Amino acid sequence: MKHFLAFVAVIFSCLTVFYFYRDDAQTSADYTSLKVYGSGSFIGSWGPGPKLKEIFEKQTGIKITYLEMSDPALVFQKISFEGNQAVGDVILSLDQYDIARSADKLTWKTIESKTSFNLPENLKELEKMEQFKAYDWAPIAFVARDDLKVTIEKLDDLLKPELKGRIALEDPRTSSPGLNFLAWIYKVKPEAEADSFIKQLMAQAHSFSPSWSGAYGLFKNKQADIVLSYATSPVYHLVEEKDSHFTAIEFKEGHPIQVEFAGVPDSCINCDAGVRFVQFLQTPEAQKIIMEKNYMFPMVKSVQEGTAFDGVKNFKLLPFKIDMKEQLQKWLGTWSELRKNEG
Amino acid sequence: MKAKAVKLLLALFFLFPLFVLLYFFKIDLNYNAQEILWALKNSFLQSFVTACIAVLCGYFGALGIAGTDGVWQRGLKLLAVIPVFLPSLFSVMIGMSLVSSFPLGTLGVIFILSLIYIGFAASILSEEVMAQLGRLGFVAQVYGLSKFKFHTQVLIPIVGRSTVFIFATIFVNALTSFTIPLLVGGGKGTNFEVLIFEKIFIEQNWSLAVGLSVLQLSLVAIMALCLRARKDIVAAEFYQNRLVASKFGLLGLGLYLGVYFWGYIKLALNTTHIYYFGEIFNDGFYQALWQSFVFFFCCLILFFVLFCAVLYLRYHLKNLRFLNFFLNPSSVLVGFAFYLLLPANHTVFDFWKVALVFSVVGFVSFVKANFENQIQLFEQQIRVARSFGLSFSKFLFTIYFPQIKKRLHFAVSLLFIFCISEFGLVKASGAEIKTLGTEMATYLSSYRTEGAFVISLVILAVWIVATFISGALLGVHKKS
Repeated sequence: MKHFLAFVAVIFSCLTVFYFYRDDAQTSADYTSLKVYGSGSFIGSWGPGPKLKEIFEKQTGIKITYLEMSDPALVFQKISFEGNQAVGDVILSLDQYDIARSADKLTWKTIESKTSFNLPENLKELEKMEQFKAYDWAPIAFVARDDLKVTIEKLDDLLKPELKGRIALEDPRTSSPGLNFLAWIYKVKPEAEADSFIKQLMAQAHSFSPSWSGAYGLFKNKQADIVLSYATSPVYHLVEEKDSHFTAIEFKEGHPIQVEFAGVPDSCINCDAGVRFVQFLQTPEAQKIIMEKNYMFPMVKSVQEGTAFDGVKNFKLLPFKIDMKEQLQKWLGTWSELRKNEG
Repeated sequence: MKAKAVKLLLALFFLFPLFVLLYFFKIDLNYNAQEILWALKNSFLQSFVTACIAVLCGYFGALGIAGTDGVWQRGLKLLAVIPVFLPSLFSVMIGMSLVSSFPLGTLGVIFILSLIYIGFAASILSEEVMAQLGRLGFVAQVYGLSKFKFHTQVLIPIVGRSTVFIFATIFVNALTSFTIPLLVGGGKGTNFEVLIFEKIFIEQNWSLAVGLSVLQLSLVAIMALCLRARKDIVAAEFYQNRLVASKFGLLGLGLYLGVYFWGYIKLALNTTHIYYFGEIFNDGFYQALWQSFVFFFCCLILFFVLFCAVLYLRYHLKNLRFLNFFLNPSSVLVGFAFYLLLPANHTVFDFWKVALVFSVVGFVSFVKANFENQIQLFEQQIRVARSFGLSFSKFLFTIYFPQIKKRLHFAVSLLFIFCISEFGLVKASGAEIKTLGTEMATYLSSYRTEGAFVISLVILAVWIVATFISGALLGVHKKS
């Protein structure tokens, strides 16, 4: 036993010493470094984060340290408590619902866009946003394999008996695409009709996953025939898996849009560099990397020319706007109530 | 006096996150009783039935394990607990691939939760049976007791209280589970953990979430306080015999493990044609592997210190029921308390931060599941040691630990897989460390879900190798 304890102590001491030696953490008052919060999928080895970091560091000499963010609500709450002591110059991976629901916990720097976009008409609202800068977007859409026998052209087609138990959806309480889908229903249908549709859909769906990836995993394992995802999802299969059998389904009602944003909180330490990094994300060079790694449309249209994204059909889009917090809560409340009485 | 101070320190350690949250937030007592009762009602049914199925099947599985010995026994015990450590999504996919028309709703939740916990119950119950039965099975066989009489009059009364504890552990875990009820639970998916999540992330009402968390702690504590301790039993080596061993139980357990792992292997095999291993085993992977070990050693040290504190209290005092209060606190809130308190982006702090969170969230149930019967079994030795004036440390290192080295090895092995596959607590506490679990979670949250299966295979492989090496170091493979 004593040998084992000695072994544990020696191993741990070595690891600690070794780790201290290689620790490259920076002090928070260092103006040559930038602390950037981002989701795991953005800053992870498969995401655009590492490549963007490399280029930005080379261009500016400012060292980037990524901080993984499990949920923006936690980060906002922490920064709001810490005030000027907070760490974090830039926050990435925000969507329109994070902004609507919790961005008011903090105050944000105004950022001027240095890149001009050629955005679709329905996305013009994005150009007016001064505090949050969009760096990618995609229409929300149902994705299926091309051997799907059912014809789906509108939301009501989701209630066809052939699709019973075959639709993988996301829970709007925990998933952003799920919330976007809920908002989609309320935006294209009168309220009473929307309530009734949701109620029927609850009995029709295969499941409501806590996250987009959960639903997509079920779809990929053929436990569902269609999944709520993005119009750009088939591009991933085409590019990475050389599989062209996936398709996004166009709906007559028009599609809602999911947008990812970056912002610089007022509590930033290296604010100028933070603003520069957000502006850098909108440059064509960075946009290409984000598009290729995130499988979302770039803000700079020219970047996608000659790529697999060019082949994605131009879906009819619903106008983009940031929904009111109260409105979202009302929809979620109704959804929860309907869900309570089902199952 | 010293023991009282240790008791106070231990209580403060577990209450610490709550103090932090109370410092930042005022508890909101403005509950919607109807909503809480509704969440309780929904989850109670799922948890109760799951715990019943898991314990009942686990009982027979435990008898199957008790009928084996050596490597087979150790292998079965370890294999059976694996479903608890794999991401819930894997179990959901495996469960769904087993049934052509998967029953969503309460039935679906019970099915998946049972699939996860049957093996866990069998593994822990087999430990209890072997630790507490000793030679009684052999004696009963000599006296010619029938199998039925042996089970109803000897075995069940002996392991009854342990079984109730395992039932309670599964019940509480099922009650506070998050992903499964949400994924396959239909309208009855909202339980306490989901309710806390809703308060934080949808309503941004942290005060109410903290209040709910305290309420959840209290409910668990009330239930846990009702659990009575086992009777003291003299330690004796387990004697295998035909009354305990069950071929039916072994067959059932084999079928369960076969079905689960066949489903798992099928899912994992689907990945190899897409992914080149070289692309997965990149710098990030090796960093995660390395940091998993560091995190494990941090946890090992903390758990060891806390375990010694518990033993010290047992050495001097009898009543440790206050620990039951901390059986299953909300991981989101404990994680966030440490997230608020310790600086972000400091590697060393981050390791200790997650280890502290893990200790607060998991130590009590971990120790109760692994060592409760050992503590009970050696109480007589403690009395003798005290009467001879033996110091606590002398007793611990020269008498107690050498006797339970197999159990220690089993527990360290479990702690190891807990640590390397951990990702929920790392994310909840905002720590910037990577484990193989966080690596797996990154794949799970992208298009590359197949990569998660490959990483999970690596986790299992690393776990088996580490278990073998630590076993060799502790000398548990030697025949005594």
